[in-house]
Amino acid sequence: MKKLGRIFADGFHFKNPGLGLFIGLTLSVLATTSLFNAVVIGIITAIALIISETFVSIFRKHLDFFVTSLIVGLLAAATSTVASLLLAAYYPSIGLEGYSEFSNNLLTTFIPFTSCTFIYLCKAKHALNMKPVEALVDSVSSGLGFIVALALIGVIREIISTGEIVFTFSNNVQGFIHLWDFKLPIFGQPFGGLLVTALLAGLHQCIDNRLAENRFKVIVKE
Amino acid sequence: MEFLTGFLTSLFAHNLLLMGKGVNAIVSLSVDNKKSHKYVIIYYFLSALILGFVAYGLNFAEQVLSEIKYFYILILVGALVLISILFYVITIPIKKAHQALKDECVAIILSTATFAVGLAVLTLVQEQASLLLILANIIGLPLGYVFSILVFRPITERITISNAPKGFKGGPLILITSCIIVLAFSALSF
Repeated sequence: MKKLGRIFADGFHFKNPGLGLFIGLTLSVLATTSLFNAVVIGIITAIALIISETFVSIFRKHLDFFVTSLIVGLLAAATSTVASLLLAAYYPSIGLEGYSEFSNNLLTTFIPFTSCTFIYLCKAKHALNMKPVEALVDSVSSGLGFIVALALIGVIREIISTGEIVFTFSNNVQGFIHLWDFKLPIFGQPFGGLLVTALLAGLHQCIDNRLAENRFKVIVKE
Repeated sequence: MEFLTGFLTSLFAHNLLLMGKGVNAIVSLSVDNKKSHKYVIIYYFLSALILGFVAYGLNFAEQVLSEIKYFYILILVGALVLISILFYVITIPIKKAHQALKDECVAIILSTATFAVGLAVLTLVQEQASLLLILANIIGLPLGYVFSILVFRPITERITISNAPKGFKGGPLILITSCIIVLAFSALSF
């Protein structure tokens, strides 16, 4: 139980895929133009991560690294295809291009990029030496951590670039919180994504260093 | 003339790394040894050539079967898997001594699959593009990608020596320099 807790903490904070390990940077730069986009992309990535990592850890005795990489690539592509089909069927305002006036948020162009991040391969490489339960806990925690990281980047970028936060509730209903009139539209472009990701990653490393110092002090006192 | 303008826009304005696609190659490739670097660059051109033509074929198929646009991710990744199996088989006699290098190489290749899909999406988006424009994209996009990675390498070497704040050492500083370069290059795309 203690080991599972440590794996969860590692996946969520200490080895966070977005801010700690610098993998999945394509998604955190491209897909975080708004909070809504970031959360949807994060959920799709987390589901694909859970499927691929548990699959690899169940069949780990029959696989080597090369075959694993091919299987993971195909599984991720299949998951993103299914996700795009499901969104087009049940949530056409964000899954179908040109369906309603809200469908100009570019989500349809971001979904293919979820199939090609390095997260799946990096985690599957570790899952080759893990039991299925540990792999499940690790994939769930790192998926949650990735969603939180993307949401943080998305909120900051959306507020700076447009001055408001937009929520899409259903196909015809959209609500927004207006904060101020000050706008910097360049934060909606790749420049803003790189800058905000870098600053948040630096903050993450500072917190990590402080935690490590505190832990060292406790050990010395004991 | 059409070829030249297409080539230049794909080299600078649509530069994949500077548009935010395949960014983690900066952090991973700038740390790696130079041997794997060489093979990866060869692989970029191979995959770009084949996937570009696959995307061109899909463009034709979309006019007949409109449902195919939902499955093009699977088709493209399947083609990529076939290419990487070919690459693995071809390089067996060359690198029997370097098993670890081979595995690492395959990992880097599949991690930068974003690059290939980005290329394919770009060619799919351009409706009814001519073959000359697609050829210009196929040659220009990998060249631009390799060019920007080569620009990053000396910068990252200098950053590792520099006296930076403790929290920002390593990845964050590389990202900040890359965002400044993106700001400079975005003047070309407006």
